[in-house]
Amino acid sequence: MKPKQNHLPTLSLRVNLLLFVLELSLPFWLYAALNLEKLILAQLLFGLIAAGMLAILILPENPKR
Amino acid sequence: MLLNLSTWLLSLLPLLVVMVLMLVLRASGKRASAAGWVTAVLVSLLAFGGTWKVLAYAQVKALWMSLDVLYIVWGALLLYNLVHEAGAIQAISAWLPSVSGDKAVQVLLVSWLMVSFLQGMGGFGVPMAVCAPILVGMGYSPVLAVVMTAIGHAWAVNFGSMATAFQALMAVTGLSGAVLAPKAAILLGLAILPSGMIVAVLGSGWKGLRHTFPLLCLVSLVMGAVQYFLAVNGLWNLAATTASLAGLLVMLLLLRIPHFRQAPAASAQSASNADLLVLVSPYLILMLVGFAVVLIPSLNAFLSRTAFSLTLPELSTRLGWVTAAEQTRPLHPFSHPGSILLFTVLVSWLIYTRKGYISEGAGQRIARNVVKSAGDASLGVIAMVGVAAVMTTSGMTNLLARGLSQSISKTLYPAMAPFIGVLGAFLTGSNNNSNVLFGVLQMETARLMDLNVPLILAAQTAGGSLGSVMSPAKVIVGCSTVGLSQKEGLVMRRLVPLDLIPVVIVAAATLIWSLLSGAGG
Repeated sequence: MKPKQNHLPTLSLRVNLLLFVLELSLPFWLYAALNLEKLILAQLLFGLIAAGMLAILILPENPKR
Repeated sequence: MLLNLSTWLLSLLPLLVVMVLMLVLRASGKRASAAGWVTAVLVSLLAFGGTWKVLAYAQVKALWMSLDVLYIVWGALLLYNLVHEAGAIQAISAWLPSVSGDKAVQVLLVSWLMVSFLQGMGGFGVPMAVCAPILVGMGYSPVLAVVMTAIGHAWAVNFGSMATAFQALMAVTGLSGAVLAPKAAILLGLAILPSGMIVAVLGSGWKGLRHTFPLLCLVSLVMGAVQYFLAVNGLWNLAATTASLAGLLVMLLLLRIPHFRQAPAASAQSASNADLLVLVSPYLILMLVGFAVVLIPSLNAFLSRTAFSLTLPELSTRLGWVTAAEQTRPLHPFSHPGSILLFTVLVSWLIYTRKGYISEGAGQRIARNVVKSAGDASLGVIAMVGVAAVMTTSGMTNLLARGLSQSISKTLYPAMAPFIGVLGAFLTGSNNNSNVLFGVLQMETARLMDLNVPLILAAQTAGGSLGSVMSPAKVIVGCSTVGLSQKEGLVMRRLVPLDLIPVVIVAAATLIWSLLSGAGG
């Protein structure tokens, strides 16, 4: 019987860096969107920040790191 | 927000999640902090009337607070990897046995005195990130190395880093340094000896503590006295740094007295003095530039001309918790410790290259190592500071502290005051932010209870100083240079109970002092 495959990407160095760049840059855009009262865009950006946090929480660590 | 047991427990939930994940389940700092962030957001939305706009601005605020820390962290990791590549860490580890053959003394030199001195130039876990690898080079396990360096400099956080935490306390309470400094210096002075004793026991067992005890007492006395003298004379921004430098010098002098002298280890093999000087030159440059920028007013004013800050509007939750409109702390890119670190790296690179300490491909290796360790640490810091920002703007932090202060009788409150400081520092990773969060609350509570206000505030900042070193944000940074990224939980499990010892001593001292001084002080 084949072992169950895990299809989630892992928190590799690249994914880690991508998340870092997103979590660091998105709040700037969020601030700009809030100041310009582009509320839908702001909600979308906040959603992306939250998604990033969930990714840190859920994605398995890369065993090779 | 109504204060009752269920709302209090709900506001504690994000912290509990972080602590259980790190201490019990040994999760990595970034994962535990992300879980804390998700919990804080959910609790805010579901129970504290948080709106997405409040949460969005909280995240903007968190980013600004994180930038301040991350600039230092990346700079410190760059410097660490450069000196490591050149062989400076190994050289220092090899040089220490030539100072004294006594392992307990070597440990105290690095993880009690040197680490406290480094706190003078920049906190946020950087002293741990610099000193822990030296201890690993001496043969200690990475976990023990981080724990020892954390506890060793806990007393120096408040008056270290140019006393930014103490300045914040003065700013938010409106009380003068003359009123606050004496009591804060005494309470933190009481923590110097216990932190040194813990380091000695961890580093060389009870036997090591027994034979270094006279040294520990003498050096603690000198450091406590110097810190007190400078603090009460208005030089609080240099108090901890000068105290630890005095302690270092006194220790080296005492080691020359026959009673304390230990023959250098037979195996001691250190680089020549000239080589050692070149290898440690980055630290000397860092000290020189760091102190020049802080202490030369004209240079500081010139470099601080450029500043950035954000304007945040007044925020209100659906339940009526209001966070006043504010201008974020200005970021001075040219006088920032991160810039000083980068400048040091640049000059050190030139020196090392000229002297032939940098081999081919070093740049790539350094860059890869920095990205690897700083990436993990940065995500953890961003998430943990996010937890603090969400909790503060939703009124959860205030509720937590109110719950603690209102459930305690007037007699016992002085013993609780340092723990409120610890709570703020644990949450935010900073003594400074703990004072900003809870300084006014502690002052108001002390006034309402007719307690000695300066004493309670001194206990707040002493608790913040001692508690900050066990905060996830600092531990993550401390772990980044000893290969413990993603294993910060292992450090927290050992660090938290040990670091609570000096906190308990400060709490007991505050209680006794309060009882002796009587109401109002």
